[in-house]
This record gives sequence, C-alpha cells and structure tokens, in this order.
Amino acid sequence: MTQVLLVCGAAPARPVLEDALPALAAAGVSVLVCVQNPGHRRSFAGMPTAEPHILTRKRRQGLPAWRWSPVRIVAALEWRARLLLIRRAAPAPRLWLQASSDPWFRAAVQESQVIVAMDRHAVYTAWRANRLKGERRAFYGLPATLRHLAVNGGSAK
Amino acid sequence: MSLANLDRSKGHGLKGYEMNGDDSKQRTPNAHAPNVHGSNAHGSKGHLLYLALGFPPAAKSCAYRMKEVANLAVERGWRVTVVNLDEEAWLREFGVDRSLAAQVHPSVRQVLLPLHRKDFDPDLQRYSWFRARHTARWLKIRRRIEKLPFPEPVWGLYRAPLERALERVHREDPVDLVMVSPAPYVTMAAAWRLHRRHGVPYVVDFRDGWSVDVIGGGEAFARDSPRGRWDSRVVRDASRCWFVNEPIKDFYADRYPDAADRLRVVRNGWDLHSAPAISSSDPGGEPGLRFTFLGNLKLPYPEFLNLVEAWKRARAADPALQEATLDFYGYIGASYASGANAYAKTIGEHASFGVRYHGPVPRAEVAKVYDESDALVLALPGGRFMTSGKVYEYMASGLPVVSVHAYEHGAADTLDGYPMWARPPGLDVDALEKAFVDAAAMARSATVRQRVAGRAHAERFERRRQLEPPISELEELVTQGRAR
Repeated sequence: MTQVLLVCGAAPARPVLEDALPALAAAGVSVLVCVQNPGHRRSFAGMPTAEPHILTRKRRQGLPAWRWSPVRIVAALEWRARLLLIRRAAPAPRLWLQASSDPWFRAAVQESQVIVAMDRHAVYTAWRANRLKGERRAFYGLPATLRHLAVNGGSAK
Repeated sequence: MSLANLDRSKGHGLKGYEMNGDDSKQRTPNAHAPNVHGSNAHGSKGHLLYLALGFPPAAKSCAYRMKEVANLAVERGWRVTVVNLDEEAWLREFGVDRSLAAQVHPSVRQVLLPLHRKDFDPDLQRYSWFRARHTARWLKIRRRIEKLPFPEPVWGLYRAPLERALERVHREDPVDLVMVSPAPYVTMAAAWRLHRRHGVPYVVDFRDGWSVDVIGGGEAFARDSPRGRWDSRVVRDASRCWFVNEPIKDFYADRYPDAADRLRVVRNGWDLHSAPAISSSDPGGEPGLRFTFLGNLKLPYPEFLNLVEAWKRARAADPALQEATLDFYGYIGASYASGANAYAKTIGEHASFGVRYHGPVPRAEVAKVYDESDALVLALPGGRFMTSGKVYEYMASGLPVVSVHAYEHGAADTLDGYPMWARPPGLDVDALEKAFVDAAAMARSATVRQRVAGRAHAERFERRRQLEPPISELEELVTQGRAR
C-alpha cells in the first residue's frame, strides 16, 4: 500500500484537499499529515486521512535519575540551545528543526513512498526528509503528486 | 528538457529541440493531406506558421481563440504549422484539456518544444539546497537571469530556442506568413528575427497589448525602456496587429501613429459548442438558485472578499436566496498553488453559505455547467482596456449576469443592451449585495423569450464571425507580397 506524507507549514486550503484526498483514498493510498500549528488541523476535518500529527520535540529518554548528573546537564543545555535555535530560525528551517527532532516524523518519513510539501515553508523540510536514508519521491503540491501516482483529482485533469 | 539543459545545448544547433528527435515532437496525421477545400499542401493558399504558446491542449483561456484561428485558416486553404510547448509544460502550469485538443483540425501540424518552467518544477529531487532553503531568493535571482536575453520575466530564456525552432520550420517548409500570439511576448522576438533574416511577413495577435496596462490603465512601460524598444520595433515591422477591443487599439494608434493603418480590432467571441441549449419552457421557480462563476479567477483579492461578503448578506436578506449556492468553476492558482491559494481558502471557509469550488471544467462540459446555472457572476479585474473572453460566452447563455467589475469596463461596453444584466454602481459590499438580489429576481422571473433575446444580443459576437474578416485579410497580405 502506498503511503503519502503531507508536510504543512501553514493551514492548507480546503478546496485542494477536498479535491485530492478523497481521490487518493479511493485509489487505496493512505495519507499521513503533519502540521506545525494545532490550528492547521481544522483544514483536515472530515478528510480521509489519519489524525494530523502536531510536530513536537520529545525529551531524551533514559537519562540518569540524579538531577546533577553531567549527562543530564549536557542534555538540558542542548535542549535549550535547540529551543533558542528554533525560535530564531526563519519559517522554513524552523519547521525542519521541529520535524527532524520528532520521532513520529522520522518514522513516517521512513514508511512513506511520497513526501509532499503543501506550502513554500514546507519545501525545505520535505527536501531534507527526502535526503534521509530510503527510496522515496518528494513533490511540491498535490497536483504533481496525483500525477505521479496516476490518480485523477479534479484539478489535475 | 529543462532550461538548464537548454543552456547546455548552446553551440550545438538545435540539440534537444530536434523536431523529429526524441525530445521535440511533431503532431500531424499527414501534413500534406488534402484540406477541407480539397487542395493539397502545395496548392494551398500558403504556409502559415502559427507561434502560439498556449495552443490546445493547454488549459488556458487563450487556447479557444488560438484553436479557432488555426482551424479557420486550415478551412480556408492554409497549410498551418503550430509551434507550441509540449504537454508537460502545460501540466506544470494550469493543466491540459484534452477535450479541447480534440477540436483542433486534424490537418494542423504541431511542433511541440520541450521547454518547461523551472519555477513550476514540482519535483523536489531536482532542487538544489539553495533553492529548497531560500525559495524566495532563488526566484528573485532566477527572474533576473530570465530577463537577460529578452526583457520578460519567466519567458525571456525561451528566445533562443524559439528563434531556432522557427528557423528550422522555415528551412523544412518555407513559410509565407508568421502569426504570433503573445503573451509570452518573447515569441515576438522570434517572429521578428525570421522577418529580418528571411523577409517573412508577420502578424501579431496582441490580444491585450503589451505596452498598455490593461489592469491599472495607462502605459505599462516607457517607450525608451528595453520592453518599449522591443514593442516599438515589433509594431514597426508587423504587417498587421490585432487587439481584442477598441480602447487597446486606440492606445497603440496614439503610441505608434505610423502603424495606425495596420492595427485591427479582432474581438474574442463565444463558440457555438460551448453555449447551452435554451429550454422551451420557462423556469418553474425551483428553490436553490445556482449562481456560477466560470473562468480563471483574477479579481483582486480585496474585491473578491467584498463579493463573498455581499453574497452572505444577500443570502441572509433575500428569502429566495437562502438555499442558493455560489459555485466557482475553473482555475484558482497555478501549479502547486492550484486550488490552494488565498481565494481557495476563502471559498473553503464559506462553505456553510453555499460557496463552493468545483475545479476546472473540460471544454466539452462547459455548456452543461451553463445549463445547470440560474445566473452568472462576471468577476473581472481591470477597467476600460479589459474585455475578457468570458463575457461573450456569458451573454450567449442567455442567463442573468451579475457584474463584479469596475463600472467603466470593457465588458460593460459589450454587455450594454443585454436584457438581464445586474450592474452595480461600484464594488462595495452594499452595491454587490443589491446586484445579487436583483439577479436572483431576474433568474426567478426569466422567460424563454428573455433568454432568446439575450442570445440574440450575443449573436454578432460568435467567434467565427469575428475571425473570418481578419483571416481573409491575411490572404490578401500574402497575395500582395507575392505580387511584389
């Protein structure tokens, strides 16, 4: 079964989703969605996709219990430095910094055959994800994705 | 082949653009087949090279006019070669409409060039790090490079391959007349070069003109600017220049008085097969009126917001509109933004008010869309220089038309006298709301007689009627040229 991962740096417009997502579902393509902002999930309400994932950073697991452990201190410093980096970054790299440290995103990239950047802020993240180990394709926008998968959506005639 | 490869092919003739090669394709069942008048290729009125980027199957509004020009020329005995971009180029932009391509006369020979817009490349595997990371900066630099060979963003780099393609066609089968249909305006440079090198006359079907700003009104660029110099030399040497309305022609006549006698108005028009049949019974006043916009949505965004707000208010104010829908058909945004731009978002947010987007419609199904509509929304940008091709089709439907454009507008001049026309005095929400309510009243009370009267008003704008006289004139041009 083909799996497509949609990467959203902004709220996508409903019409393009209403056009493409049912067509993908009808063709047996499963669609995963990751969004940067919880508000962006609204666009996908009622769409044939899995529940959109909000990109989050997970703290490192398995750290020593002792509060003043050097390992724990280094991890905390790294965490704060990365937070600062994310806050100061431009929209496109910020999305990648968030996505690259999210285990859900990395697993979704490994399982997906196609990655789709839904807006220009998501282009860099989709491009970087496509360079991770594995065979897959990456496209900008749903019309090209539908063409690649030979699925007929209304706008892709 | 991408433009990057195009640059690499420099100095190797037409490498990558060989018309019989793998990259460039020719579509012709038989270039020397008898035409509809029974004359063969060598006995025809001449060889017309039609440089028409946007010819079918491109799903662009200019394709309807281009198709009809080529078909009519073939029917009148011309041997027609169309130079266009290949299908992949149009798939990257607005898409293709194969139902429109099926309407092209089989004797039209097509030379398809594999020139693809790099800025619309959807395959991220082909992106460099710089392009992926700094999309806006990459585009800015790209636009500067594009303007080096010809002062037109996006298309400037096409100059050399277009020139070579025209040269090659002329070498294979000498051309009697070139017709070029900008935009893109870089096509004019190719026609001009063939004229300078081989004396082949050319006609420019400007449609909207280049040096006139049809949206803002007035001059688009100065005469001594790079674009101005190109515009001036192309008009100076052209045998004829066609424009879609009188104001644009007058603008050019003022700007180039020496060329005034060679300028013509060749209006757009409506096609017989895209007009719906008018039913023989009056509408029964069913609930749920359907207001339809069909076309490429180019209305400025603030005015589009006014339109939607006016629709909401009209729906609340008029009980007859409570179940009504406002349906958008056609292209909203190109390439990766297709159906995904701010307009599409606004439509999606107003679904509960009956505002819906249905995507593009193949040409063969346009009549069906009109048939299912009760009133039409003519949403256009610009002013007196803008006519649009849609206005003729709207009139031919015989349905009530709501104007959503400036009061002084080229389309208004055309609609003047149309029996079912709601013309608001401005584009503010109150005026548009009243126009929707008026149009709803017209739609409910419209009779067959009124619709027939509407069609009769549009009769003189049937596309073939508009095109036949100027195409006849082309024959005289070539005959006179041969006599000299």
